[in-house]
Amino acid sequence: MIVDKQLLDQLYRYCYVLTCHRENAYDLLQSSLENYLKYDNHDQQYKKAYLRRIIRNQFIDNTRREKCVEFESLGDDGDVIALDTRPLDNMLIDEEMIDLIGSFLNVSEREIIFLWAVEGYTAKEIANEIESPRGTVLSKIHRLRKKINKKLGDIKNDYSEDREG
Amino acid sequence: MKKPLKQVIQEQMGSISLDEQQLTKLLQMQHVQPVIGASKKQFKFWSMVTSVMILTIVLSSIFVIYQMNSSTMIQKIANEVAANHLKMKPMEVQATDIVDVQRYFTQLDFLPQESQQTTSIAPQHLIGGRYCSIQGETAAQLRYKDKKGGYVTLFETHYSPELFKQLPDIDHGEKPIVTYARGIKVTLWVEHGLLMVSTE
Repeated sequence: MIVDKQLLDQLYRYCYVLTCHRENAYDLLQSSLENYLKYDNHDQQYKKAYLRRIIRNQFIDNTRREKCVEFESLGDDGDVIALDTRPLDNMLIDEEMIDLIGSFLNVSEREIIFLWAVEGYTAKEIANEIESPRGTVLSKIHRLRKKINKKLGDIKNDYSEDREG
Repeated sequence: MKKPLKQVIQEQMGSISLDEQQLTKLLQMQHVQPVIGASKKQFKFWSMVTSVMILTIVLSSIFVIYQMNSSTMIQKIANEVAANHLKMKPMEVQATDIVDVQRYFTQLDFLPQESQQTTSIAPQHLIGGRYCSIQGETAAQLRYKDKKGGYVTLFETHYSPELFKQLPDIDHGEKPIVTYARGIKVTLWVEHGLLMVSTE
């Protein structure tokens, strides 16, 4: 077996993070696996990373073709950047808010969150994976925390106002 | 109750997995694909074998054609010089010293030389020379008389590998080619950058 059940599940989760849709995630995984199997050289050592690269490229191709996702500029947030992934490590959230968070993060933010939380990557490893400078990743981590806090704060305020009203 | 973001994401991701049907499809796909991979490998192998065979045939053909051309050229030279030798046209310069003979050949773009090949075979003495041609190239014809009273003619011209093909160079320790034309023994070799052909 070239790609076992466990790895298929891991890759499926990655596809889900990108697409936010179970069926689309399966289609993405299937087409990426087809591409992977076309080549004879199946390097066991970097199989997972290689497959994830194929999935990523395939996803970008699909979304560009369908023009269904706007890719955000990876510009820095002023001079403010995080020093590492600690801003995310220290974050506490209500469990039931997780689906909501997923809904307001864009693709690249979801990908960073996935690589950090599920794969346990450091900022440097994330930067290598998504082929961005480490500074950009750190800047995005800073913005991510700010964005999550702001959105959750807004929701909390709306909820309080609703109750008072 | 609040939990670390990382933990919440991990728990959420843990609940996402392929269903049985999807998983079976993806696993089956991998059983089918290696066949394609194998046939691709076979195709690559046979393409390589075919390429090597074609290359071998082409190179062999080139070699055979070159050899045929080469041997055809040797025979042409042999026939031409044998005919010249048999005609025994009169000498244009009569001299027993090579220097005198060399002085006569002013129209050549090379200097006729005595060959170690002819002098080593049998003691001979030079009696003269005349202009001639080998395969359209201006050449010198030096005539020697051996002790038995017979004649040895030494033909010399500038050696061009493109025209005369590859011939043994005795300066590099190679042995001359010996052939026969019109009953005459013809020996061919390259010496001092000159094509030399002797008939006896």
